Amino acid sequence: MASLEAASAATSSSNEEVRIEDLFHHKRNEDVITKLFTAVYAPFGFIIFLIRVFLGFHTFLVACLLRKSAALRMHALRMMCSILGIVVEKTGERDETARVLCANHVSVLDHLAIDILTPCLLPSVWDIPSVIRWCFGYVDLGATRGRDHLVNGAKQLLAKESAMPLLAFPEGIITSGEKALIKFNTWCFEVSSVVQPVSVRVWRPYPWKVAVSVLGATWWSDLFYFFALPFTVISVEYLPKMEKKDNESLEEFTQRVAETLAANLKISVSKFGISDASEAAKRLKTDRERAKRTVTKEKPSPRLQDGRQMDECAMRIKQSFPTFHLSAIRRDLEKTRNQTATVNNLKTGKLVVLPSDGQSGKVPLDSASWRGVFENRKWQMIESNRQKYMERDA
Amino acid sequence: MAGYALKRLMTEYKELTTRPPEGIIAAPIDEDNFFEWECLITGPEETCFANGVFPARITFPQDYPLSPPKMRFTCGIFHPNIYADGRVCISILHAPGDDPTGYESSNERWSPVQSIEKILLSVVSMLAEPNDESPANVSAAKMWREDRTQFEKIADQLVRKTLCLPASEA
Repeated sequence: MASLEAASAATSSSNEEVRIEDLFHHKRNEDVITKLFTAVYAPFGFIIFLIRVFLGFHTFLVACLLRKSAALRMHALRMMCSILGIVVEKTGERDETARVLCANHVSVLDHLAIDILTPCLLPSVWDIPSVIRWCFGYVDLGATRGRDHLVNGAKQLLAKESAMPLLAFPEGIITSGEKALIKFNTWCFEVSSVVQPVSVRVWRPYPWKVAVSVLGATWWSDLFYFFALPFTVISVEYLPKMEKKDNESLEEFTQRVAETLAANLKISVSKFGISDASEAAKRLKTDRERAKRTVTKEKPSPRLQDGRQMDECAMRIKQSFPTFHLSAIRRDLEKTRNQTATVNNLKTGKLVVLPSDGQSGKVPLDSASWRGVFENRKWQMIESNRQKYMERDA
Repeated sequence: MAGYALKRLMTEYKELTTRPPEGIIAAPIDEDNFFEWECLITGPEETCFANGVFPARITFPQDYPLSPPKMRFTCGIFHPNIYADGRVCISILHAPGDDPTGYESSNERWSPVQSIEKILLSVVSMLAEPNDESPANVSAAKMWREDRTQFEKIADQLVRKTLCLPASEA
């Protein structure tokens, strides 16, 4: 007990730096090489995708027609999935005494991968039409009607179907599986006191290193990448089964399983729950929409013709980016002649700031350079009065 | 004639650049045309225009300095002695002959011994002490007399604008 508490304290303290956003991939392609390669590969990928869509349809039919527990179905599906670019690897042994499998969630096809290895029951947590549910082999446990329904439904189902275990993803959301696990939901641990943790890892060969799933992505876009890229390896590892101790509470047991699974994946358990994750996804979505809006709004930024327009523009930009010296903004505008371009330079840190910005310096004797002296003094005058005004205001 | 004006303007330019008076800068907009200047005036301390940096344009006649230049603010300043279009109405800018308001004494008038610097310094003191006896902007003069708080509020908004500060909510 004491050691468990110490362990959880250690993980929670190390979680202080982990932000909820860090648990997910945000972009499909993270480095430049992958991006370039993806562009070159795109036409081939699209052809492969089309072929695989037809193949996938057949696989789908086979999966529907064959009985779920048949050994033939297992082998046929595994073969066909390899052709579809979904390679499933298995390590560790399935323990038949554990009736609940609990896995971490890294891709939309996790349940398919595990289902191929050990046919299992998949509780449907979404409100989808029963036809589609039947096709994919989901069972409706009434998750939408509340937690008690779900737990009772699962218990009844396990009593009825003695051959197959129940597969659960207690994280409830797809993560990158690289930083930390989402806090586990306790429902599947309530169904059975004996569970077998299953760790799922997914990887793609370099340079097809496209993220399997990104935060807020739709399932069909994830599936598109599965089909279009040459192959994706899903390695499933069965860990030894775990049993709830008599003196252990449900939460403690859940936490213990989560930590075992996290240790196997060499990551930690975060303090974030599913609600934090969906909040993060929502936030990301609004941020992206806002960014898109500002881009379309700023599009008609005309080419600045003369010095006066540039002066006005510099002052407009200064209003939004007060930390930059007016001289630096104005100098950049001289080069770009475009408000949007300068604002982008500013945001990306490409704005050149000279040490002379903010200093008047000596006046040269040559009258041709006096105009520059005036410009310099002008911006300096605005900057220093701005400073004085704000000090006075405060 | 224009040659002399040019020479005189060049001398003043040099003087203003090498020894700029506090809070005032001025220079020709274009090196090719010395008869069009731009200048910046800092609002006088302890007034509602304090720390504002007000841009203005000065246009010189070909017979400068015999005739006075014309000055026009380009920032939409609201002031009793400045017309709504920005033209400055101040005695130093008027030749002794013409007197649009009838209140100016001739010793404050334009004469060739005046200079750009003197004009600008007069404008600074005009900002500090508006002359509501001979207003160019009647509504500004009225507000200055009757509703000083509102006048100061308008002035403050302009000051903020010239300093690239967002308008205050009040």
